[in-house]
Amino acid sequence: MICILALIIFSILAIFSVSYRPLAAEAFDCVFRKATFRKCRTNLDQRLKSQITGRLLTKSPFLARFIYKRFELISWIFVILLISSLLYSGYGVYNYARYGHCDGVNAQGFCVYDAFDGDEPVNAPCVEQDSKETLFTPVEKKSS
Amino acid sequence: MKMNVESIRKDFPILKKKLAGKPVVYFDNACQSLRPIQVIDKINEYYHDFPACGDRSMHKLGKKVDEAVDKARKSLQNFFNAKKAEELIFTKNATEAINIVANALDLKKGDVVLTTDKEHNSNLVPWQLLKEKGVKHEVVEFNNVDALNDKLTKDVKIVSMVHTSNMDGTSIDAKELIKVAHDNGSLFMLDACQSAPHKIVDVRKLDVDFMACSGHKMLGPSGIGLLYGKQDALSKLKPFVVGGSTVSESTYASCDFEKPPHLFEAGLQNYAGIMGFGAAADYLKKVGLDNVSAHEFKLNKRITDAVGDSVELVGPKDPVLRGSIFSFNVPGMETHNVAIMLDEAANVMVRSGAHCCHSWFNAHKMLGSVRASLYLYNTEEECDIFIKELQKIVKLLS
Repeated sequence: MICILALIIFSILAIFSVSYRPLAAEAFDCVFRKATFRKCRTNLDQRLKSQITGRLLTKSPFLARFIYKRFELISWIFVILLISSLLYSGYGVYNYARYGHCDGVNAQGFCVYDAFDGDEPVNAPCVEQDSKETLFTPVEKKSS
Repeated sequence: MKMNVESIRKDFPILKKKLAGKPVVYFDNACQSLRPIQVIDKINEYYHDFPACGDRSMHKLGKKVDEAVDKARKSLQNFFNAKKAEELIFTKNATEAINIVANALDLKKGDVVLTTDKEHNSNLVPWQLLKEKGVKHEVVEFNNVDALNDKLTKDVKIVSMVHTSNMDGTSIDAKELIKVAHDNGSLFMLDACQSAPHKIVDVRKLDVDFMACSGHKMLGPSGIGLLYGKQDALSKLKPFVVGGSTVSESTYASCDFEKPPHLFEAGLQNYAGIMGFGAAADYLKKVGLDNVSAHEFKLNKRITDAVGDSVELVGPKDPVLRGSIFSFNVPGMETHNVAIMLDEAANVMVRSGAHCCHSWFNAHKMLGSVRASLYLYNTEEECDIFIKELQKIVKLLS
């Protein structure tokens, strides 16, 4: 399962850095072989498992053991989390493009994509309409 | 004179460095050793001071190259106690040296070649390929004089054996086996890759016909090896790789071949490598190979006493029989996983897998082993780091 995670993460990183491209290709090969019920040829999954466990071995032997023994299960959890997070993000992008807000039609509240428009996110700190000063800058008002 | 490990370590630049904030614990010496500054300086000397052609150019720089190559050959002659410097041929590595003998020896259909059951692929595949010429290759049990005697017939033209196994560190009684082969009229070739860096290999005392070794396992540069051949044994070899340097004269139709060693040193040579190899031999000679093997035994015993019972050892239990090698498996774990963990946890660098001895592991239905191989610059403190991390792996993960 770690190969799927590796494929997604290394593929994204590979867009920006050439050094991740061989790893992405390796992860793809591994996913493809596993999808066709064959053993991962490059042992990428085993390598990642050993690297993670090895690093933890000096810091927290208990955690190292926990992860080593349940590596497949933990990988599944992370894959599910990653995929659901990607799907939810995609849904948000669709809503933003279609309705102008992440949460769909007539929705209000915080939307992170507002920042891309140059607008301030909806629930950003309040700003007085006629003043450039925010609530964080106390304004002294003279009494009449 | 006693060996001072701390002062030796100062000669190895990589040992002064840290990786990820931790010192390097290099236990992969059976694959390739580290190089002392004396060897590195020698390699640089060539490129810096006289980067020219050897054995052909009459100018001052060319002459300097010739002198440096002769000096290196002389150093290696002393190191192996060869009768003449001309008996030493520089090759790319031991694999090439063995291939030269396998292909240049006039073996015919029906001839037999014997090797042991613990050969590195380098001393197995070149002989297997001769099947196409009708030459038979047979395997005898490692270090078993009776087994060799049983296999020896008049058709056995050459016996080629590994001196010390790179897989488990065990050695053959070379002198005895060579005598048995010679009594049969067979030639004997010794693969000394794992023995030459660690113990005295005296080619004259052993009376061996051919011997191959690599520079990179004995503090020398990579890309340089050696083929020793007794003068009359070398005369039995036909020219194999030929061209520049191997002939003294040529016409459009024929050529006059040089004598060994030049006959087998075709083309422009790795002069920097040769010089570095000579410097490595001088370095080891100065330290003393008896000191090296005593030190390695002490370290191997320390490791064996601490973790020998908690892992599956490959090879005999007695460390004195395994020289510098501690080869093992952790029950229930893949070899590469153990190696990666040791590296990630504490920069302990070991080798994992079949160590190019697939034939032995396949015959014993094993996938491979983890191999820690020690050398003169390793310390007891490094062994303790290895022991501590290995114990953790065995206790927590296996």
